[in-house]
Amino acid sequence: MLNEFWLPFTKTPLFGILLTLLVYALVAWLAKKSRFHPLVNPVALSVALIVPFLVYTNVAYEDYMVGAQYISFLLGPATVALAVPLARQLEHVKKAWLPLVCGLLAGSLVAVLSVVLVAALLGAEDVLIISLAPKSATMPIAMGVSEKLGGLASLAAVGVMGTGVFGVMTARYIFKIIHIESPEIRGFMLGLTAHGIGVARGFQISNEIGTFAGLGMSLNGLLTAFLVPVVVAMHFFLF
Amino acid sequence: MLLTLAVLCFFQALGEWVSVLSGLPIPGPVLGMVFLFITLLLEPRLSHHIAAPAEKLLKSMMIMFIPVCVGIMTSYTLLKGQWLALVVAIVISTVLAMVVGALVMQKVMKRLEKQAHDRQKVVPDVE
Repeated sequence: MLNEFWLPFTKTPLFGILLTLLVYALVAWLAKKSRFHPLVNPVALSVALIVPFLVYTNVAYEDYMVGAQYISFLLGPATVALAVPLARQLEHVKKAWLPLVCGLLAGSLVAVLSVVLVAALLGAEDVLIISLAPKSATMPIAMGVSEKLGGLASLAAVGVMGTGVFGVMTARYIFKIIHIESPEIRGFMLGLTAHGIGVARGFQISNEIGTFAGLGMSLNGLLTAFLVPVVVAMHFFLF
Repeated sequence: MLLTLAVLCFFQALGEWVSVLSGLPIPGPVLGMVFLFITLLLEPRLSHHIAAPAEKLLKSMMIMFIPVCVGIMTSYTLLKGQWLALVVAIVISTVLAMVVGALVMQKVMKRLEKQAHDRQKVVPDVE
């Protein structure tokens, strides 16, 4: 009796949308209760709830995505929307242009070089190394770049997501250890290393941190698109 | 809200179009952001109409990553035996990039502040 409703229901868009919204409502409430503690990350928690649920109820990822894709779709317009706080805080950004450029070059280079080097030293296959190289870039850039060079988009997605979630969970502690207090640096590095998830986290804290995170994400995305092919070529030359 | 969504989607479409035309490895939404940014500088009044809903959308950005992240369940078999390399590489590289980038930014900021400070000191002497 339940199956008469349930099986067709899991194939409708309503299923994926409702499941994502319900789980998100729950974890957003938890995040608020914890006063947005970095370890209470809504993305990580939601995935930890939704994946076992889908596996347990035997629903395929494709069926979940029939509805959930509409939630993913909003990422496009949301990325475009980053221009709004950026234009508003232009004066603020202009004043810090030199530190921003230096931080961008240093952070971007270290992010791409170190992940390729460590993965290679640990004996990862070339496909994984290429897929991981753009891990700090925003999802569509990372997937596009790694696929073009012979990586796998799905592996790149895993790398990007892992990086984003790990980055936002640990950023506060890292900045504390190295005594970084300026919201410009915190925001910019959050977006540079943890891309969109870092930006989302930034706007959880304040508009200023979110804006600088958006800037870090965009600039790093652009630079990574050009850096990764060079670093991957270097990797093949050396190993 | 709907007007804002229309504006955002329009710029995204513009970005997608230029992305395909130019063959650049830059996704449409990022180019769309650049175009909207330029438009906002040329026509600041547009900001009044879209600012509030746009910022509301940004505050809910977390939920938009969930569906793609759930896709990890499909890549599980692809990674056979390489989980350790994946996790260690991500952890080390993310921490390193954050630390190096932040320290470089701080160093440059401090140097600029010092220069500005020194210049202020010089001014009374000149007078």
